[in-house]
Amino acid sequence: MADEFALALRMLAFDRGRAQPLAARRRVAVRREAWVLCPLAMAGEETAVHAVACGPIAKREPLVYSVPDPRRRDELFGLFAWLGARLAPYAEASLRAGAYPQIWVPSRAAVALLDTLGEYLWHAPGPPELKALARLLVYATGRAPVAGQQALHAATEVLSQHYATGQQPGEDEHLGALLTWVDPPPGVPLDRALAAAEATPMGVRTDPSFDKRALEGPVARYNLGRKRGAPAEALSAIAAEIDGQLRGEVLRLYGATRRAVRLLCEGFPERLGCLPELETIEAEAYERFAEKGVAYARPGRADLPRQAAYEFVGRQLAQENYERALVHQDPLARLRAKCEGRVVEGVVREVREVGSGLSKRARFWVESEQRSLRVRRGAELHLMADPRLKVVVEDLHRSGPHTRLEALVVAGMRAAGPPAEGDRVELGPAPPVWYELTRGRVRLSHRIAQRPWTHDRARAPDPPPQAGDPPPNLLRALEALR
Amino acid sequence: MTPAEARARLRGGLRPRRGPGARGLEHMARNPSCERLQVLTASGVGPNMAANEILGERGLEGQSPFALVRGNSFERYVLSEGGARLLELYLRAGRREVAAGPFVDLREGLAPGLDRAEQARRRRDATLYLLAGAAERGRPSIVAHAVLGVEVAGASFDIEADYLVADGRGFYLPGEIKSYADKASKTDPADLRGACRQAAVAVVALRQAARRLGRGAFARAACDLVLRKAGTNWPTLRAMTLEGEVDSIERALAAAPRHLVAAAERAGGAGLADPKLLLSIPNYYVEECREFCALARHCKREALAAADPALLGDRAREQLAPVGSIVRMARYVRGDDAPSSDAERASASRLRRVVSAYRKALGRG
Repeated sequence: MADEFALALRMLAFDRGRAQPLAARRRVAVRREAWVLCPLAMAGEETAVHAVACGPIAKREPLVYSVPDPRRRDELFGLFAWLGARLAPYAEASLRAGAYPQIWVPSRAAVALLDTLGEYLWHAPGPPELKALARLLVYATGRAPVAGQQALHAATEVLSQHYATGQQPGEDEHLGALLTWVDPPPGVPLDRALAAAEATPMGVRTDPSFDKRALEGPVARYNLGRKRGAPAEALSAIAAEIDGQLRGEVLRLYGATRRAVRLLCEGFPERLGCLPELETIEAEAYERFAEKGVAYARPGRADLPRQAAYEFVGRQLAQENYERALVHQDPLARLRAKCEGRVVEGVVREVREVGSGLSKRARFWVESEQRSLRVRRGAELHLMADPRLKVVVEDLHRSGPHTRLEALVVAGMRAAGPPAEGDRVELGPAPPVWYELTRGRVRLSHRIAQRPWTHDRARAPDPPPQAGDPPPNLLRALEALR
Repeated sequence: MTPAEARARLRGGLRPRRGPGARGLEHMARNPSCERLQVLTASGVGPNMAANEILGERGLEGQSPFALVRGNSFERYVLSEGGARLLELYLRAGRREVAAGPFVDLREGLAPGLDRAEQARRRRDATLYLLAGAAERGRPSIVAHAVLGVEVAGASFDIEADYLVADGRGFYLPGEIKSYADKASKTDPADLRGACRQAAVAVVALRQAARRLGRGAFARAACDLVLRKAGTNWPTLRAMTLEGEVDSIERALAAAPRHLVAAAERAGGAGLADPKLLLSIPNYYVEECREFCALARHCKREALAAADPALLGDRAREQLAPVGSIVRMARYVRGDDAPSSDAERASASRLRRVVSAYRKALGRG
């Protein structure tokens, strides 16, 4: 069954009272210069950031900035300018060093908030630091959906890629609860520790009870004071009171995010082999964005058709490559792929050679005990132990408790050599090809040089023929179409 | 026993301050397998009152005061100036028949000092009057703050539609005004789902009203959503179809009388004020419960006590259904206990294989 692996690990985590590793190697790079960014927005608002804590990941004490009422545009843009003045030098330094800026946020909700902020600030007039902040946010959130990206990490998402907890998947989005599963407090029953963690807000917007208890009064007094022309000292005192309330909230988010990164690095000291390639791709993407992408970026608006096609192909290739890299480089990811039937494990039977001379090939059966395989005739698989050996699946059928798969070697006959009778082999996807993206873009540029008929009414194909009498043998007619 | 008698018996001395509203009814339809939620909603008690007053626990916090202010001010902004902004929105969307007006706000013209119930009654009557003559010439194309009655197990609960809009076929569709950010394809699906489901309750109410009025016109399963462009007060308009949402709400409402009567018969003479009776009504804890139900925390504790597979998610609940307990399955996998049926044996053997391969991959043998 497809997700038996995840189910088994969640069950183990529940039974043992501790999260279980889902990965054998760390899947993300943690840059020493990375920044942690924890925005906290006002409830009901999508761009009104009330307070923010940020700082280099190595720094325990963050920089904190808050505004008394972010619904006032001058105050809100003051906060953005402050944030831009801190983040822009980091982004510029990354570009100069041929690297990329990396930002860590507490949760996926924070990624969505930064995405909205990026779009909003991109179109808003403002000083250079505001524009720099908009560029950084648009870049980072634009990269966020790309598999294997290293620019913007949500702590909950990254931890969930590495650990299975004994709770519902949706509950993993609460960073406090997730950290409790990963690193339970000693001497406290887990259910009690979890209840306490869940009662502590970790969202990207202030909690309704906190708003009622701590913010509603001071914010109302502040606005009333401004309306009535209260002296600056009185307003500052109220602003300090609001800051005091918000500071604790953002400091907690900042501390939890840093703790997540620390636990990740401690729990997974060994890195995935492809991380250097992923970092190079990220640095190139950032350089491309800084040089050309800014002119083409259309945050908040639909992509142009050509741009959308490139983006779509780029994301698809990145996804395929990342998944292949995981299967080849992480034993637990490979085990999961086996459980899902994407990797075939079995014993080699009846190896025989076909052809002669340079065209000599080997054909063999693989007898697997896997109940369900996501492989079909014509699929190309690689030997996981030596991916130079490539086979094509020629036949596939169940035989008693086994699944038998006939494979014909189509590449690597001499370099890797066919497996021997009785060998236990694993066959899976091809290893990642990191420059496939460049080739894909070139191929795509040829394909979309002319507008396809789907987008051109004048060249629409003829309508399909009207249905006539059905063929006497429908099954045979369908087979004839293959 | 009739549903009305069942409701009266279950309520006992409990006096709910208000009905479930569109939000409560759409929550009821989100988890149709939860009998506890169905009974609480159909009896008018509601999960929040049950958590606070019957179980003595902390219910849902409700909305933040800032979110309430934002939502109300946006609604006021859209409907202000005689609906000019809303009519302009329809004009820009190319729906000239709506933009031509007229616009009516049922809150305007109500005598000051009327209590809430009387205001609702007058607006409900006015809405029914307008629905009865919806096909006549000169009828308003937009009716703001309409009040409709939804019949649930023999009782009528009031719901308020932000506005009703002429559907061009002689009847009306509901319109929802929400201050959620409209980010085109990136709009939060949870926001859209919630707004659509609330509108679906209004569609059901419109259908019930049409039947009562003997009108041939039939409310379509569709609505208009007015959202907000992110970071601004500019309204945006999108037309939504609601077939699935309306069907699920109609199914939940159809099942409500059966749940209500069954619970009252089981209760004997007791009412919902007795926590034992409340907790004896079967629940169905799912992942979504945390989003909307005030009893979710309590139900989670019950699930924890039983090591219910639902704690691991909805798919785990299905996959571990033959065993029914996470702890029992873990014991089968460890070999501490032997499965007692073929279904248990099959599930346990599959998981045992995975766990053994996992231990091997981790180097733990």
